[in-house]
Amino acid sequence: MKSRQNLWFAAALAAVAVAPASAAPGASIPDFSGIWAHQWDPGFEALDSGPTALVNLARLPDGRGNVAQLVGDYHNPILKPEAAETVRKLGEQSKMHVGFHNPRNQCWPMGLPFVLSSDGMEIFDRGDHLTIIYRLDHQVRTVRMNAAHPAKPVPSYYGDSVGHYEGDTLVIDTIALKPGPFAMLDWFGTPQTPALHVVERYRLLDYDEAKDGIRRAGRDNTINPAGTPPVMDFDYRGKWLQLLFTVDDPNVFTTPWSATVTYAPQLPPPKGLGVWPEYVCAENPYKYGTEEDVHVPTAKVSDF
Amino acid sequence: MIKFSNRGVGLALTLLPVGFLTASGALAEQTESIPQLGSAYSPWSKLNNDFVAIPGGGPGPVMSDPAHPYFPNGRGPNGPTLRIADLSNPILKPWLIPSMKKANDLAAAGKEAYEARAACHPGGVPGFLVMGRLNPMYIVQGPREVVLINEGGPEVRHIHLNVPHSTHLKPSPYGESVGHYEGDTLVVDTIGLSDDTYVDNYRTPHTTQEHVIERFKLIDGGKMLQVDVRVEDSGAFNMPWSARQIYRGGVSTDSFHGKFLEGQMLEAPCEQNNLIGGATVAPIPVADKSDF
Repeated sequence: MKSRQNLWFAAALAAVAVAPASAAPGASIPDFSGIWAHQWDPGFEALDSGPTALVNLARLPDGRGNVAQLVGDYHNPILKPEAAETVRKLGEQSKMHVGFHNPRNQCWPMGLPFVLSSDGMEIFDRGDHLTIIYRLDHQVRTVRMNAAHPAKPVPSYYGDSVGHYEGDTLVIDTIALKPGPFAMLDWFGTPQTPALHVVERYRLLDYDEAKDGIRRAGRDNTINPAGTPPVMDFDYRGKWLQLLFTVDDPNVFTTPWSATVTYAPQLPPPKGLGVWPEYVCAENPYKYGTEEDVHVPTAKVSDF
Repeated sequence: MIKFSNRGVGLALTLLPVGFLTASGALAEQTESIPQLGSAYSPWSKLNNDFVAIPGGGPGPVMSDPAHPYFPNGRGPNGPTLRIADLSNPILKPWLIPSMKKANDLAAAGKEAYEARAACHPGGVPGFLVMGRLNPMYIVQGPREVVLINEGGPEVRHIHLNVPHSTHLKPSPYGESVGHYEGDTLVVDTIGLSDDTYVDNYRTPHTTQEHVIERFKLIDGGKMLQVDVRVEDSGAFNMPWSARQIYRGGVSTDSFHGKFLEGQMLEAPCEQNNLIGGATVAPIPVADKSDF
């Protein structure tokens, strides 16, 4: 079974192997520069059909997802039984108003795809690589462009990411994701293993196309109150950015699944903040499961 | 494509369709107009653990008490020491002295010597430039923004290009930085700094009135990066003062040999490498004689 899984996985990897120099010299590539924001939590937009992200079973009276209680849909057929049980247990804990650790509230690297739920993100394209920065707690990723994964990648929290352009779409393929102590794929506690593989596809959209993402976001997420940074204009008529990502981990899921995250440009003053509102996780640590706030480990003296 | 003015005044948009850049054209445009200060593959390693004075630059930074010199790991006649600030520096307003002396006394007793990097806290400005000894800084230049990334943490500062400061600012650890290019120099102006950081590793406080100007300039044929800092804070300091940090450039990243590109930023999450505080910290074990 394991060797069959490995063969399947190798085939899947080959299917998304990066073709070098996908952008011909002088060809146009989309401009993803600038600060992109979305104003909802937990952040993933489940698709209307097909294998897709977990949604929150805890709902507000008006039917929208209730971010104050994180009860992942453990009936989702993408989940293998053990993963479903993990999500169910954490949901039960949340329903009792006792939160659970996740990399975000414990100030750890969030990894993929968890960090894709971050409400602000910025892509710097330097040609041979991208630097992607996420607002929540200064998370940083590097993507090597038009390159192949190494034969033996070194596992890390953000893995090995390679990217290329396919016309108007930026495609990023990531493997070698190392689960950290609080690792999970989403806010509901869906687990991950070293077999995790994530493919991201970024594309600029017109407003009419983006509206579908906004609709799905509002259906399953909690829209943050007006004025909460980052501030976005839901009626913005310029270009939006949508990420379509596909996740697979044969140890956790019965099938690969996909979801979107839809972004608008961060507004300049006076409507928006115009700058990148700082989020220093170490200033706001909370310990869940007890009454005690966690103390982020700090050194009284530098060790170097 | 976006053309950058060397004077840093405004941007000129020309003929390409909105939302598109040439695959290499935008980068080439930057190369022609602005100094290339690096990328996520170009580490800048600190030459100095702390700020140094600028020769002929007038009042300078707080440095080590001459009676209790600071030695990092691998230096000094008796092994590493903790930083003890020189409180005789004339820039310091009197109200700073008691708290700094208290911190000095704790360090002298070997009990505590706060550093932002070790506490997973923001380094503030200009403290960002001296935070952490080993983790390099990376500079990523975009068309509207430059980000400075300290690999340790990581810590990220955003510098918004060719725009004025906001009129209403909520203080934050890294404040609001605006910048522009003056020839071969990136000039960064920062205000809106919250007072919960120190300006250096000697635990020198500042107030929310702090105003910092940094000038980033390549020297030695581009192999080194010099950052000159000017700090004004009438709430904390008797006069403006200046300081300098210098960085050495990292390994060339011209080729990829099937492994991580040399110089590529590493993952160095701060929370993974911290020591538990709250107790007397034992000094790093040092052998008083060679065993061979």
